[in-house]
Parts: sequence; C-alpha cells; structure tokens
Amino acid sequence: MKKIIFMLALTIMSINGVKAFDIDVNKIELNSRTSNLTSKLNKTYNIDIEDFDNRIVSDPKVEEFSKKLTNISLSKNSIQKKKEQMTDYLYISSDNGFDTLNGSLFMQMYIEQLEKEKIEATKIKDIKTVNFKENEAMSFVYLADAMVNGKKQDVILVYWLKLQGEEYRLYYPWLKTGDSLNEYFKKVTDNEDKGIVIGESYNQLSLNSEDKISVSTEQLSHIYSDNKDSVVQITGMKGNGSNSYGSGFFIREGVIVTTWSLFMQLLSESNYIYANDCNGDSYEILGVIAAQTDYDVVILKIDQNAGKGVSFGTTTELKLGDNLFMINSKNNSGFSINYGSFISLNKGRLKNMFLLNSSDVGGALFNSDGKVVGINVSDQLMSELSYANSTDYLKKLQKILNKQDYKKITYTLLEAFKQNYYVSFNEEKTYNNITNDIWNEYKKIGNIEENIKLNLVKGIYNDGILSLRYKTNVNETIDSYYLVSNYAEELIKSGYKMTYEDNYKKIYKNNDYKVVIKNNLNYIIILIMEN
Amino acid sequence: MKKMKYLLIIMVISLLAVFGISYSLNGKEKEFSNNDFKIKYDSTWKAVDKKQGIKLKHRKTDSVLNIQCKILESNYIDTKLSDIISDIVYSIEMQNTDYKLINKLNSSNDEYESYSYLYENNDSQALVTIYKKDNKLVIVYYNAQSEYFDIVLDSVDNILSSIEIITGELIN
Repeated sequence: MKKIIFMLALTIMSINGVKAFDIDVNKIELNSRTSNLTSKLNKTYNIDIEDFDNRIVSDPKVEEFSKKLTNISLSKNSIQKKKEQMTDYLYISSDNGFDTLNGSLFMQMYIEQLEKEKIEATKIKDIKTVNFKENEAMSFVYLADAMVNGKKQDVILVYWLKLQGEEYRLYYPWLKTGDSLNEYFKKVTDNEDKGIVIGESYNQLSLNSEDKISVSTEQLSHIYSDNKDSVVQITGMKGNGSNSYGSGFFIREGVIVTTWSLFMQLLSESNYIYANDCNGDSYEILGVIAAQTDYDVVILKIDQNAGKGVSFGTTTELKLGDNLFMINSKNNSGFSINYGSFISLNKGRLKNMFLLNSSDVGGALFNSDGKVVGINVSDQLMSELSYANSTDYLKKLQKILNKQDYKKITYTLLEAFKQNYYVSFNEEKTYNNITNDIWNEYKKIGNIEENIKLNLVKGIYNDGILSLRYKTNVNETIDSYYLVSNYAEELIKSGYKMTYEDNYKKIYKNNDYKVVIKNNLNYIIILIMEN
Repeated sequence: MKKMKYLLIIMVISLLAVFGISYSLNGKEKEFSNNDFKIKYDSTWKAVDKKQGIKLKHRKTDSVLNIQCKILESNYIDTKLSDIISDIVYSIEMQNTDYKLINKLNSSNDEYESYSYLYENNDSQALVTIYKKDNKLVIVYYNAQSEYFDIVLDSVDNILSSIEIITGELIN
C-alpha cells in the first residue's frame, strides 16, 4: 500500500514538474564558474603571462622508454633475465668507462632490491618526466596499488636517462618505497633546470645550512621600514565566528595582490573579507580588477586610495642561496620580517628554503634590495621548502594601474564573486509524522525527551521504524556523540547492551528493541525498531 | 498416518526453503565493478541500470542510489579535490535547480579525499558524495523521499564505505 502511495506521489511530483535529483557527469565542468566570472573582467587589466609557464612538460619519448623499463622491472622473469634485458638499454659512455660500470652496478642493485623487497604492481598511477639538460632526463614512475613484501605501499621507480644518439638510455635507476609518497612525488617531480643533480640528493644539497648567507640587523630593518606600508594581512570572517588569514601586498595605492586560491578559499568560507596593514588600518575589499587563475593571482580594489605600491625586482637575476625576505603577520599578531633563501627558478616558479604557514600565502617575497620577486603559493606549507610564483609578469600591469586615477580603476563587485563561491545553506524543512500514540510508546526508550536536548528536524515513523534526525550545529571535526551521551547511558541503565560501535554508528539492543545512533552530516540520527 | 508424516515432512522442507530464500535475499552481498570502481551492496537494492556506472533502486522504498565516474585530464592527478570541488558542485547544482543545499561535510578519510552535500526539495532529499583518486572523480548520489531518507541511509553508508576506486595504467 505504502509503495502505491509513494509511486502516486512520484507521479504527482512529475506532473507538477518537480524533478528527481539527477546528475549527468558529462556536463560537469571544472572551471565553469571561474571562467564565467573572470571572462567578465575588464580586458584593460589583462595579466600578460607569455613567458610564464609552470606546467610540467612530459616528453613522450622519455615516458615511453620509462614504461619499457618498468615492464622489465616488474615482469615475472628471473633476476638474471631482467638484468640481461636491462643491460640492453644501459647508457654506454664513450669517454668514461667508470661511468658505464657504475650505471651497470646501480642497475643490478636496483633489480636485486625489487626482488628482495618483493615489489609487485600491475599498474602505473602517474609518470612525470623532467628534461634538465639538453641530453638528460629524469623519469618518476609512481606505481598504483603496489605491494612491498606482501603489504600495500607506495613505490616510485626513478630512472635517470641520457641520450645516446637519438635514443634515451638508462644511466641510473633507483626506487623509493614508503607509506605515502604523494608529497615526495610532487616534490621531486617539480622541475629543476639548473643542470644540478635533481631529485632527493639535490634537495638535500640545497638544504645545507652552510649555503645560507648571514643577514645583518641593519639589512632586515632597512627592508622592513621600506616595505612595511606595502604589505597587508587578509582576513576572512566565518559565520561561526572564527577567522582565516592570508597575506597580500599593494601593487599601487588602493590595489592589492594576493593568490587566486586564497581569495577563493576566503570567499567560500567567509561572509566578510577585509585587509589590514601594519598601522592598524583596515580596508574593505570592493571587488576584483584582474585575475589569472592558471597562475594563481588576483588583483583586488580596496575602499581607500591607501597603501604604498611595491617595486618589482627581476626573478631571473636570483642566484642559488640568495636571501629572500617576507614581512608577515602570523594570525593577526603584528607584522615582523623573516628571511629564507632562494634555491631554484623554473618557468616562473621559485623554489625556496622558507618555512611558510597558511597565513603567508599570497604574501610578497622581497630580494635583498627590498624589491618583490615572488608571491607565496600554498603548494608546500609547514615544510623547509616552499614555493612562490614569479611576479615579473605583474610589472606591465603595475604601469597600467599607476597611470590611472584610483577612482577610475574599474572592478567587478565582490558581491558577484561571493554569490558564486560563498556556500550559504538553506533552512532545512522540519517534518514530523509521528503520532502521539507512537511517540508516547517510543519516547520512554532511553527517556528521549529528557536526555536529548537537540533541535529535531525530522521525526518519522514508518513500517515499524522510528527515525529521529537532530541538528548538532557543531564543527564537523568534533565527535558529536557526546551530545547524546546521557541518552546512551540511560539505554545501558535500562538494560540495553551495545552490540556495535564504530566512528559513525553505535547499536544498542535489548530483547524488544534495537536502537541505532548515527553521527552523520552534522546530524545525530536515531533509529528505533522492534527486534 | 504415513500420508500425514509425508505431508509434515513436505511442509517442513517447504518452510525451510522459503526461509532459506528470504534469508539469502536479505543477507547476500552483491558486488559490482567496472574499470573505474568497485562497490558492494546488499539485496535490499536492485541494480536497474549499468550503462554508465550503476543505478540501484531500493526494493522497499524506491529510493535511488547512483554511482558514476568522471575521468579528468591527467594533469588533474595531483590536484586536491578541495581546489576543484566548488566548480564541480556548481555544475551539479545547475542540473538540479529544484534542490536547495542544506548541509555540507568534508567526508575525507585515509583512503580518499571526499565531500558530501545534502540537498532538499519539497518532500525528498538528495545526498551527493564526491570522491577523488588520481584523475578519477566518483560521484555518488542518493535520492529518497524525506520519510525514507534516514531509514535507508544506513544501508547507503555501507555501500559508500565499500567503494574502491580503480586507477592506474596497466604496466604490460
């Protein structure tokens, strides 16, 4: 009977034009919202990025050769056979026999390690290749669902390749295993084009503290006083009262720069965003002047013609070990200056030895002359290494903006972006079909009315199952079971036994009833049914 | 007397058969897998469409659970789901303008990064959970009448926790 009523309801729904929820995955676009908004920005302020490309370029030839080597490495053949097959692809140096011998020894050690650690995999998760000299390349093969000694572990096979004639040959292979190599894979595969040994050994070399140049107090004080009026902290106020922070800097008076990803994060989490400087002045963000989402930058107009525009330096003039400076404010606790050092530059991306936290994202990196060379990005936080995007491409835009009167700089209202990014929830409809008779019978179980003081949004009785959905209004990271602990204790006191427990569900039973308590989607859901 | 005995035996066997069938219907777990994902579901659900992923219908309530995969370009392998979720959800909401968002949750676990969104229209609710592994997005949506939603949710949660996303390129 119920089924007939439901079918009838469905028919009525379809007559009234209420559609069932449906998703066509082919219609899902990954930049629909962003490109729709950024396409409407004033073209005068387009950010020119012709010499700036930070994508990792894969050489198909290197990739194909790496797959061939991986096939041999993970085949079921004997060690001897694998060594023979691999030898056919070894690099033979025409002028350095020691190099050739070394390569052969490394290859043998690599094959033996594969065998010793019983490394098995049938699929490749990802391959990244890096050409770092005219005739050399590195290839990182990340295996999918690999097994090491019978246990699931991450495995990356690394091939250092050299061109011999027109073909790539294997110079050194090695491998790395670990529980989670995602971050490692990202780190080692970021391009290095300095011709220095890349990968793990390069990072270790670069992190050697002897490379650092000492900084005098005078230099710090000079850079700080010259630039303190050019930096801001950006704060997003969340609905629940907490704040999130990022950084930014003035490209000219009244106009600040930060990263697009920080801006998006603040928009989606916060209902109000503002910037404040080291003098304690706060500025409302009026709107977006320009954005280049592929390169993670956004230019924002504030409500006053205040602040001081930075001077830009030239990123390509940086040398390994050069000091970099940042004026930042850690979570609204006043501004201070910090320093780190430059490691490498690749296609507009600076790799630095600089510890960043989330509130530094969007902030400016100054060179020793106090000129801005980079904008901190969020790719690697709370680590000795961090990344920044070059700001060389902002010089042209700065000239355009400097020529204009503050009032004439056009922008798209923040509200337009906010409507699209800020997630606002609709009021949930309350629904209750439990009759008094049923409620009087069930409310005694665990003394519900006394022991649960939460807002009931759905109360349903159907087919002998009573279902109660309570809104918890607590942060999703907090285990909200404590809100019904009195209820659970009452069940135990009245003879129920807990028969199941995990992070999301607890089940209590006695001879007559089964009570399920679920912690789901910021709700506590209680189901009571007869045994 | 002998006839009665036979009749009794036949009745007992028939009863056992009926109970046996109903037990196996309720208790038997089924598995579905394609090139993109694997799931397990109990027999309270019936597979009604396997053309694009799988569409399950709850036998008793007609609630629907749909699991589909979208393969992203390879340059999205390392992209965090949190960086693209806003655009994904926007596309989904554009296809379901009758439904209003009432709740959102970061449902990530050790295995997968995932987000859940709960929508409501007049008398039904839809829970959308989006998972990402490498360059695959698995999108699960469960749609039920409000009066059945929470009752069936437990079974939906079991299906969600059984999801295995299959990624990677075959080595040989």
